[in-house]
Amino acid sequence: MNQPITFLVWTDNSPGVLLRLTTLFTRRKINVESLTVSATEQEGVSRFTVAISTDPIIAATIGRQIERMIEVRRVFVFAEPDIVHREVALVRARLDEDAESALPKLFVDCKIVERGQRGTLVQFTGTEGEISSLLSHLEPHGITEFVRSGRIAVTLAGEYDNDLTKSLHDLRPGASEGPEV
Amino acid sequence: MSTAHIITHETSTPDAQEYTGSRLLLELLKRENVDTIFGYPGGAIMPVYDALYDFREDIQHILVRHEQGAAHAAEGYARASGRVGVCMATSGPGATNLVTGIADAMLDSVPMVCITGQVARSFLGTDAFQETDIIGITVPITKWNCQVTSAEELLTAIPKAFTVARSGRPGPVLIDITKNAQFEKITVDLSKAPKGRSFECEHIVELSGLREAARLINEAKRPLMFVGHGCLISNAHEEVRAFVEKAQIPVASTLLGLTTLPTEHPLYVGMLGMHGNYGPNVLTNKADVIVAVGMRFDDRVTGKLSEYARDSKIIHIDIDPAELNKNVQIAVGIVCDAKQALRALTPLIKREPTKEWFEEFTVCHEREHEKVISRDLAPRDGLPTMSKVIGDLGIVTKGEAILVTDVGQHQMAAARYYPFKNPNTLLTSGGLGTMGYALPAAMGAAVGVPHQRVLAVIGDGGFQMTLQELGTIAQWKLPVKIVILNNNFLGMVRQWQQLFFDKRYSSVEMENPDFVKLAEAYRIPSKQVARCCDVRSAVTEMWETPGPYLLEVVCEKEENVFPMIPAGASIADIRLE
Repeated sequence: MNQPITFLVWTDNSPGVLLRLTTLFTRRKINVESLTVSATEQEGVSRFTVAISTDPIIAATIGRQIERMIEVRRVFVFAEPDIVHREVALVRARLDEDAESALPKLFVDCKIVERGQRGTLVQFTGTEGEISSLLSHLEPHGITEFVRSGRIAVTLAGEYDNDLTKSLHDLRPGASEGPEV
Repeated sequence: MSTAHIITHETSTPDAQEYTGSRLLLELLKRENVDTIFGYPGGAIMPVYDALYDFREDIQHILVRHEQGAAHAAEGYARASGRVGVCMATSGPGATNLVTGIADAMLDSVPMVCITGQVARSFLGTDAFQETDIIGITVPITKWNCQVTSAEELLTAIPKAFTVARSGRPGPVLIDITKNAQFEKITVDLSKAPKGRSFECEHIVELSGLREAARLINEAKRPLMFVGHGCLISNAHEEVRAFVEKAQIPVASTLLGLTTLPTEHPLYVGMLGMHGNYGPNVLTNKADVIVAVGMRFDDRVTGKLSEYARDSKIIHIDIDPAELNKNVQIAVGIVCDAKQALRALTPLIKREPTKEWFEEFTVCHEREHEKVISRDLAPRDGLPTMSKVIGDLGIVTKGEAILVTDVGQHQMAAARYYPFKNPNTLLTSGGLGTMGYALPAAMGAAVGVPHQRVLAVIGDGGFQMTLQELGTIAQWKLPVKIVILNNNFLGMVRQWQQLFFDKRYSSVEMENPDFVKLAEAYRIPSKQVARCCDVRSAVTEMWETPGPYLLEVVCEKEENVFPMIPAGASIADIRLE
């Protein structure tokens, strides 16, 4: 059964890591739904947040395959309830004054960045679901541009343990059969 | 070209010297005890070949006839000698020709360092002559790869490459060196430069399951041990023997685990997998505990997963944690080198052997002997079967050759019927199933272990994929004994077409050249035999002739390899005819 999975990966900051990491998903024809890379509190170390939808059993195997990459320092694989995740969205929409002033009441982490001929640029921080709600709300006004940052995530209470199968521990391989060759 | 002079901090020491990147590369290879490079020169690697001229006393360069041959030769060298194999090629087509060999090394965990030339840094990304993104191409088929664009980077990249290639689960590494880095000058005190050991990779070791594993084994009524390539890579054949002799457990082997125990060992019950032996395959589903060491439950071993070993508790010992719980559900996982794990596990073993369980293997063996083995080894008509030829090879060579096989029917015949005596004496392409592997790999093995005798068994199809390496073998007078088992068919594909595609033979028949004349053209002694009764004497003549030799055996055209587990079927559905 596919479900949303988030990988948090700390790697050396060197060229080629991104490609090597993504091939571990693409070789299984898994679409990467969101991927962000950034510097960390530690110099020379990058942090990847990768969101995909897959079977948790497969996710655990991919996690171990990521872990054996030479450049990888730590890997954690999480199912949804164990993490805090956010995205930033920038939406340009044709809002009248009333719609604009109503926005911050409906969507707390919302901010007007600029107003121009192509519409009002709104910045919003939230979960993917909250961003979708915002988009539904703005849709009738006419959205002229829209971009979102992709997921970043931390664990609840900042706790990480080294068990790759955290949240996935009851799931074992063999439940699903691949195509036979 | 850039000739920027980089001053490094080591210049202050009296032993600092000026090197070009090319010379530095070769010094670093020398420090890793590299004595042989299999390669092919070209534009973007010219400076290294120029520097190689000054290193010819220390590093022999074996000029292959195609870069794929260089990669497989490095694999053969590595697998036979236990050292890291090195191959080298130029940019573009030189590099891409290595790809099949690199992928083969990746799937079969072979330590190999590939060095490729690359266009100068300033040309990267411009579609320059013979520029190809070999780093991008080889990401999924290397354990690690790295592009070097300055001479200084070599100081860390080269030792790291060797450490990564040989440590943990071994694998191929590719270092792509831009031409400017090869020319660039650097002043450095090499005695102060890091060596491979300074990059020791961190490995996960998880031994906490040992006691539980021992308990399961000690209580097992029908235990079965699987040995894989990991047992040979970690040189654990003695530990395997000590473990099974104490535990009195029947031992089955994967294709790449063959030779861990001698074929004649009383506890050895045969090969697993699609064309393995009947007993170990069907009795896998009757085992209550499986101890799998250094193997990865490949689909060719398991057949249909949902019907595989459902009643067994599996203890899986492997150095690569990514293999645990990948294909089968395990009861106990031990992440460790096979040798170390077995050394820790054996003292905990105390069990009574179960005679009835061994008898089941005997019954299965008798059934397989009646239906398959007796027919394979005593063909009725005049034409030799592949199995019979392998049997004769085994008798003449006393099971002591380094046997290199290609891929297909002859490979399975060799795996099933060669009486292996010594560990690590079978080199075969298992994971990737690379036709064309055997001839260059045998060549590499002959270079890597010159004191041992190398026998290459190859089908007529696979031989013609890399036959140009006869040139290299002839030039270096490498004592490779080549046996072509010629059935004028791509035999394994034909067998599948016969059994599963209504005998619709589609593009499997080959009109072959005169292999004897072909060998003669390369000045390699050769002979053809086509009668069963002539095989033994021809093999003896070949084995006693010094230097290379090519023996063509015209085989039964439509011989099939049995037993066979049809693709996607359960191991219980293994066919004997």
